[in-house]
Amino acid sequence: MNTSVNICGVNFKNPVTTASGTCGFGRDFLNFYKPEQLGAIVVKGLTLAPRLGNPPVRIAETPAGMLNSIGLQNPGVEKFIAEELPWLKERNATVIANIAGSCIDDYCEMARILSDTSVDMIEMNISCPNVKEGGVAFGTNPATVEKITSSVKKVCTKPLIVKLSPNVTDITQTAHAAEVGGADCLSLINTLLGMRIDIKTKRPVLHNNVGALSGPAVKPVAVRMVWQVRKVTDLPIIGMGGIASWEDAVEFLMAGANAVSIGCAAFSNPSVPLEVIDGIEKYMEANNISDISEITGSVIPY
Amino acid sequence: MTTYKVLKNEKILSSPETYSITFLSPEIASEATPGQIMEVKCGENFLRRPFGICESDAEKGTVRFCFEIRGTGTEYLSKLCPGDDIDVIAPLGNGFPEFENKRILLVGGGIGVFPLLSCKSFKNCTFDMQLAFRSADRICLEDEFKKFCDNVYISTDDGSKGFHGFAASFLKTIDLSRYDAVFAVGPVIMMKTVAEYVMTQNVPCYVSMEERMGCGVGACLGCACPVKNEKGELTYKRVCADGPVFNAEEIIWSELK
Repeated sequence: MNTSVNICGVNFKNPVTTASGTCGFGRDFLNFYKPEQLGAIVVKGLTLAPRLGNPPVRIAETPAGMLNSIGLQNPGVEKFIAEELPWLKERNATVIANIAGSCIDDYCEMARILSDTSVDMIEMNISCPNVKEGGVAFGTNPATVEKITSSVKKVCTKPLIVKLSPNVTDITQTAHAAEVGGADCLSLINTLLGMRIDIKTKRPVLHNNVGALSGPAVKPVAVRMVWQVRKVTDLPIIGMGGIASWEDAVEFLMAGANAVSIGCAAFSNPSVPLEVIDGIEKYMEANNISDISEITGSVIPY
Repeated sequence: MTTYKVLKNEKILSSPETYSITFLSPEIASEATPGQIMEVKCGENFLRRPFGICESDAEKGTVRFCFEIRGTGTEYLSKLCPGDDIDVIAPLGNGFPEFENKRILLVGGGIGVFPLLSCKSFKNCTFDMQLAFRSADRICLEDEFKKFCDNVYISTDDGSKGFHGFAASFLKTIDLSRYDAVFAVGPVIMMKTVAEYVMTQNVPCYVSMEERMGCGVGACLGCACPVKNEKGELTYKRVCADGPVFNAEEIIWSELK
C-alpha cells in the first residue's frame, strides 16, 4: 500500500500536512505528533522583517469554527532560517515555508532567500485577510495573482505553491491565473473573512474588527472550491478548510486534492493529524486501494 | 489520550453559579506546578476552555479546578457527573516561581482566587491571603485558604464584609515590606492596580493573565499578552505557553483593556 505522494518532485510520506499558522514551527505539538510524522509541515507565515501581529483580542469562537486575527506575528525569515529550519531538517521533516509580504518585491526577496536554504517548498500566502497591506488584496485579483506568481517564479528555485483565497466570486479564475503565472502547485482554501460583534458592548469581539474564519464551518465551501479548481487544472492541489477527521480528508482527496492540510481542528484535538493518517490507511486497506493517488479526483459527480 | 474520569463536581456558590470539579489523572497530578493551566473540551464547543489548576494531588492522582458559569462551555462542565469523561490537556504553561523560605502575599479577585489555591503545594513558603470579592455573598474557598495561609484578609467592593474597597486599596493599609513577593490573580484592572502599587513598594509582583485561547500549547499565537522586550519595546508573548504567570514589570498594562 502506498500512502506517499509526490508533489512537484518532493516526496510526502503521507498526504497529511499541517496548515500554516496552526502548528508554529513544529515544536509546540511535540507531545502529540512530530513534524517528521507528517507528509509535510507548513510553518507559520513569514515576513522579511519580524512582525508584531495585531493587539488582542485575536481569537473568537464561532459555530463549528473560529475567527482569528493574529496578523502574521512571526520572527522574520532570517530568524526562521537560523533557529527553526535546522531543527526541522535534523528531524527529517519535509518543510514548506509560507511567505507573506506587502509588495511584490517582498515576496521575491523572501523567495530568493529561502531558495538558498533546505526548505522543500515555498507556499506564497497572497490571501491573508488579517493584514492591511498585501495579503488578501493580492489574492483576489486574477491579474495581480498572475503578476506576483510570475515575478516570484523568476527568482524561486524551490517548487512554488500559491495559496488561494476563497474570498472571490470565482476561484477558478485566480487558480488559472496562478497556473499561467507559473505556479507549481495550488493550496486552497485560505480562511474566509468574518466578524463577530458583542451585542452587550456593541464592539467587535476581535480588536482587528474582522478576522479569518476557519474550522468545520468552512469545510463544504472548501470541498466545493477544490472540486471546481480540479476541473480546470492538472497542477497538484493541497486541499484544506475544516478538516477534522480522516473522513473529511478523504472527501478533499475525492474532490481532487493530492494532499491535505489540517488546521485549527488540532486546537480542539491535537492528535487529529495522526488520526487522519491512520484513518486514511485503514480506509485504503478496507477498500483495497493500493495507492493513495487512486482516491484523488475519484468523486463521481452527477 | 487526554480523557479522564470525573470524581466529583460540587456547586460551591449558587449566585453566580460556581463549581469545583475533581478528576482522576495521576499523570497531570504528578507534573503540575502551582499556577499552571489546563485546556478543557466543553461538549460541542469548537475551542477548548482554559482554566487554572486549583489543586493537584500527586499522591491521590487527582486534579481540581473551579469555575463560574459564564457561557455554554462552563454550562456544559457544570453538568458533568462523577464517572463521566472529561477531556483535558494539562499541565500547560509556566506557573508561579518557586521560592525557598519566603513570605508571600496572595491576592485573589473574584474567580482569580481559584488558581491561587494551587500555591498550597509550595511547602517551603509561608503565605497570607487576601480574598477580594464584589460582596460578602460571593466569597468562597475561605476555609481552604485558612488551612495553609497564616492570615486570610477579606475585602469587598461594597463593604458587606471585611475591608470596604478594592484589592489595591486594601494593600495600602498593610505593611508590604514583610513580603518577599506578591502573587495576584483577578480581573485585568485589579491586577493592574495591585501590581502598580506593589511595584512602588519594591516588592516583586507576579500576575496570572487570561486571554481567549486557540491551541493552548503556543502554536497559534492567539492569546497575546503585551510585554516589553529587551529594549523596552512592545512585543507579544503567549499567555498559554510563556505565561500565564508573568512578572508584572514585564507587562505593558496600558496596552490592556
